[in-house]
This record gives sequence, structure tokens and C-alpha cells, in this order.
Amino acid sequence: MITIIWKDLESRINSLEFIKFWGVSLLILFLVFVITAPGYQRVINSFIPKLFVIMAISEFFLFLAFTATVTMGNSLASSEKTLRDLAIGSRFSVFSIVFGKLIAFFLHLLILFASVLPFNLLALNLGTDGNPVRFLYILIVVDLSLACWGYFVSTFRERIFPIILFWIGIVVLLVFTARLSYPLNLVNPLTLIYYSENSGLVYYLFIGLSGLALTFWRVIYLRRLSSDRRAQ
Amino acid sequence: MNFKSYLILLLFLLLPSVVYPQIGVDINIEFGFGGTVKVGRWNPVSITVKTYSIPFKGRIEIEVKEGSVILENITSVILKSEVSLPAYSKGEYLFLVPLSDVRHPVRVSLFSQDGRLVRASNYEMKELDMRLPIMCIVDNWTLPYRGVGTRILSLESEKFLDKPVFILDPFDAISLSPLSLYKLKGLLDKWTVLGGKVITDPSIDTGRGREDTYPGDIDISPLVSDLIKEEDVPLPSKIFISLFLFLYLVILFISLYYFRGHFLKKTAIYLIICFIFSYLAFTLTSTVKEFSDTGIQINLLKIDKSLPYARFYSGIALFSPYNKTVRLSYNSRNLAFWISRRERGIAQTTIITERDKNLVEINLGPNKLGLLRGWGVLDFDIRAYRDGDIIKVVNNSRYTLQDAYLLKSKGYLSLGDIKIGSNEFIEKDLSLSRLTREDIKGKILSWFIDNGIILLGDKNYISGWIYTIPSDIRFESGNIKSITLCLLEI
Repeated sequence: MITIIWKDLESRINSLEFIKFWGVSLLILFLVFVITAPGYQRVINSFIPKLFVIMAISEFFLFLAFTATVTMGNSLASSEKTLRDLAIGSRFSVFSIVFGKLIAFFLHLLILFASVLPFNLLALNLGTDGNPVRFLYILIVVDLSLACWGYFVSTFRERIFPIILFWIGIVVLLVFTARLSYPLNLVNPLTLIYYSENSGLVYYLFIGLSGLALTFWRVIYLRRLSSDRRAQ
Repeated sequence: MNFKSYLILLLFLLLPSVVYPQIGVDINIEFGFGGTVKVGRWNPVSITVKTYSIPFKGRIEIEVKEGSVILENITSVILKSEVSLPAYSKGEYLFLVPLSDVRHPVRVSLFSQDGRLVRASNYEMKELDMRLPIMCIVDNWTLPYRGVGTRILSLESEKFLDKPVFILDPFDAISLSPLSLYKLKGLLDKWTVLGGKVITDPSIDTGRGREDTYPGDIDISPLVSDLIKEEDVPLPSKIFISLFLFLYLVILFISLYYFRGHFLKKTAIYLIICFIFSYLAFTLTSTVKEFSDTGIQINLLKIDKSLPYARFYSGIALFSPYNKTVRLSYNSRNLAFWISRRERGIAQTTIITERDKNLVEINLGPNKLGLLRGWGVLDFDIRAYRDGDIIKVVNNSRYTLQDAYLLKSKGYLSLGDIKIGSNEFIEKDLSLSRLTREDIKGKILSWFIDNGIILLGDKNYISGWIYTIPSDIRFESGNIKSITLCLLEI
């Protein structure tokens, strides 16, 4: 498992494509900050934005793109092995493969979160109040549960259809769940970030566990398939 | 179980009900003087807390609401006082509450230290006789007034000794003997400056009584509200912060893109850059909220010709674009502050009462304006005399009046500054000018003129400006501008 974590992190951190991707992401975040941060304030038409919330939602989208990219496609780090590659072509246990990938993803997410900290801390002081710890908690839980589904998608050889389904699911999660009545609308991550509310994260336990179960099932299936082929 | 066991059990169960009154607290709430209150004035609310076998720590809260449900402009003020009493003791807590809006009851609550509600009581203001004038007879002095439509109260002078001047606010007139007058002189002098009528000779008729002091015949809060809305609130330079973030991104990107070492070293460099810039970002902007509030205080002092006091009206507006609490304390013996009405988005205001001072906590935030009205009496001894063409002004106050004018019905004569001590001006040497309506000071002056406060009738006034906060008021915030217009009838 440690080898998988190590290699995953090494390939992603050394990947110039990934650095470019994250550099552009931070540049977008910078532009959002420049546009929304107030320059001066008057009482009439007073509008100090919930700067922290705006930055947190922007960061959520960046991390969503990161989650989808690194879990489903492996297009940014050429030397990184996908879950399918590892299931078919390695001798690691199924548990090590799945959890190694998830832990590598989690550590990478934490490392990347450090780069958005200056934005968050500036937004905390320049906008109305925010709760950075709760935001990080929501971000980790939502992204980890979506990563489970992303890894499930990565186990397919032809990924176009599952990727489309994944993104449809994301759109449903972000747009249509906001129309649901309370407390079902708490499944919407933007609602959770906006209201700094973590009670809706229990839904993500089910989303994450179902994705994890399907991933395990697929990896076991692939492992069995590869064993059969080797035996033949 | 036999009968004896049942009896023991019953006694055991009854034990708490016997013990409870011993360990609990009793409170007694008295509105006004024996229940007599006057709507439209400040009324005393006296709360007596009595403890038994254990000490009591907690707080008393009085919530007063104003405004209309339909217009959605309901504002509420909470008056708060900490209670800390040893066992078997009694404490009396005096609150001065403006009873102005009969639509909402006044709610009195007693909370224990852990926030548990011990007792709550609502006071409804429905009786119409609350609007009738009140005459107070002190120490059983002869009643000078005969007629209907006035409520008469008979009270002992001890009731008012060592109390704030606003305790007399419900009364329209006070009748008392020269001896009682001597005992209460300091308090009654201030009350007279506020408009109260003191009668020691029974032959003098009280007339219609004085005008209300609450909600106030002069309310400056709309003026300060308008002025603060024109104020720019200082925020840190957006360009500076943008450049700081851009520098961070450039350094981060270059260090990651061009570093060719081990990935752990790369991660370490990356994390160091992130944390250094995070620290800088936080520390460089950490004082933004602390100094974000801005405020204006405009006061009007109507100086009494015969007494060393001035009638004080104040309007205070405070604003912060961020959520923060601003505090101001004032001498509660002479002054009273309350929030303004007829404004939406008024910040939640809590008044913490102590023996000699009150502390006002205003929870500011985006689209929330802290707006206060103040009344009271300030020590201010300036006397002016006219001796032919010579105007003599003796300034025994601690302030210099700047840009003083002699205000007449058709214009003004500029007197320059009225310094501390004796000042003399020769009227025929001065030329008559029109009143200016430009700049902030002009705006304030014109507001007073438009509201009929200056140049009433044929009276002449000397006016001057003071640019410091009155010594009886102290703001915790340093970003408050204060301007006081002093008016002295001549």
C-alpha cells in the first residue's frame, strides 16, 4: 500500500502537466478573488461579499475538477498507474490497491489545500465571517466520496460512457438537489458550504461507501479476470 | 411495603418542596413608582432579588421593543445587569426604561449563571391614564394644584437621593419644601435644565407641565444616519493584496515547475511557500476588522443661562462592514442613550447597567447600522452678558468654543473662538453675514435651522463648535468623529 501511495504522489507531484493544471486553477482562483474582493465600502448599497463563501465555492469547483481528473482519467500524470492497471498488472492485494489509491488521493488533496490557504485566510479577514475548518471537513468528505466513484469509473476500459454518467451525477448533485426540501437539500455540497453546515455529510457516507463497494467489486472482478487469463 | 415505609417515602418525596424555597431566589419587580408610569418618558424599573440559603449569581435582562410589525422596523434593546448576591441577602437593581411604544410589552427576565430562565414577567402598557401628567409631592409638602387630569404621587425624598437624574423623568412637576429642595438641589437643578418644573410656593400654578424628553423634542439621529451613509469605510488596498497574491502564485509556480529534485523536497518547498504566504496574508490583514468601524457623533448643547449645566442631545451612528461589536460607555447619572427608530437594519444593542456608568454593546455588521439617540445634562458653565455694544462671555467650561457666531434672525456675526476664561466682543465692529449651508458643518447647521432648533422666535444665540467627544462618554473605537454645536441664549 505504501508503495502505491508513494508512487502515486511522486508521479503527480513531479508531473509538469499537473503543475500547469493546478497553476491555471490557482490563477482562476486569483481572478475570482480580485473581482469579488471589495476595494472600498459605503453604508448605502453596502455589499461586503461573503468573500470566504465565494472563495470556498470556487475552491470546491477546483477540487472537484482535481478529483474527477486524477481519479477517473490519469491524464495529468503519465507515469501514474490507474486502478485498472494495478488490478490487472500488479500483485498488490485488492485492499492495498483501493485504499492505497484513496489515501494517496487524500494526502494529495491536503497538500493542494495548502496552496489555497492564503486565499482563504485573506477572505476570512476581508469578507464576512467564515469557518475554514468546517469548509476543509466538507471538502474532504465530499471529494473522498466522489473519488470512490471516480475510481470505480477508472476500472473500465472504455470510460467515455461512465465519465458522462459521472458528470451527469455531479450536475444532478449540484443543481437539482438544491431544489429539494429540507433536509434532503443538505445533500447539495454548495448548500453545505454556503451555510457552513455539516449535518448533510451523512449522505456522503452512503455515496462514498456505495462507490467504494462498487470499486472493490470491480477490482476483484478484474483481478479474477486477469488470474484466469494468466492461468489460460 | 408496610405503612411506615410508605410514610417515609412520602416524606422523602416532599422534602424538595420544603427545601426549594430555602435555596431558591425571590424577585420583586416594581414598574415606575408603585406601578405609576408615564408613557413617552424614562421610567424606573426596580428589581429586588432576595436570596436564601445559597448565594445567587446570574443576570437580569429587560427587553424593550419598538416599531411596527407591518413596516418591519421592529427594534429591540436589551438592558442587562449582572447579579451576584451572597446567601440570605437582598439586592436592588434600578433600570431606567423608556416606555414609548405601547404596542409591545416590556419583558423582564432573571437568568441563572448557566443561562437558565429563573423567572420572566411581561409588562403591558394599555391603560390610557399613563399619558396623563404626573405631579410628585415630596415629603408630604402642601399640594399646590387643584383640578382633574393630573396624577398625584407622594414620595419621600430618600427615594431620589444618590440616583440618576432620569429617575425624575416621569414627573411633570415636583412640589417640595425648601428643606427637601436643599436636600435634592443637585438632582433638581439638572432636572430643571431638562425641562422639569420645581414648585416650592403653593400659590404658583404648574400650567400644562413640560414637554416630553423621550422620544425627544430634538432627535439628531436622522442627521447622523444620513451623514454616515456618505462616509467611506477604510479598507485595505485591493491593489496591494492582488499584487501580493500574484507574487505568491508566480513564486509557487516557478519553484514547482523548475525544481528538479526529489519529490519530497519539492513538496517541502511547496509547503514552506504556502505556509509563509498564508501567515503573511493573515497577519497583514488581521487588523482590518479591528479598525473597520467608523462613526459620527453629533451633539447639541443648549446651555442654561442661569445654571452651570447644558441640556445635551446626541445622535450617534456607527457602521462596520464586518461583524464586530463596538462599545461605548457613558455616565448613567446624567445621560441616557437609546436606539433610533424609523430605520431599518438597526444593529442589536445591549445596554449593560452598572452603578455609575452604562456600557452599550452594538453588534455591527454588513447592512447593520448602530444608531443611538442620547439625552441628558452636561456640566457646562458658560454665561453671556450684553453691556451696550459689548458682549461679555465667561467660559468656565473645560472646552474652547471654536468658530463662534452671534446668531440673529437675519444672519450671523462672527466672533472667532471663545476661549476658556473671560471673552469680550464689540458688536458694532462686526459685520452681519448670511448663514452658510456648505460642507459638513454647514450641513449640520442647516439641518438644525431646517428643524427649527436655532433662531426660534426673536431669540439671539451664541453658537460655537467643539470637536472633541464629551468627557462623560467614552468610545472603545478610535475611528469616531465628534462634533458638538453649543447654543447659548443671550
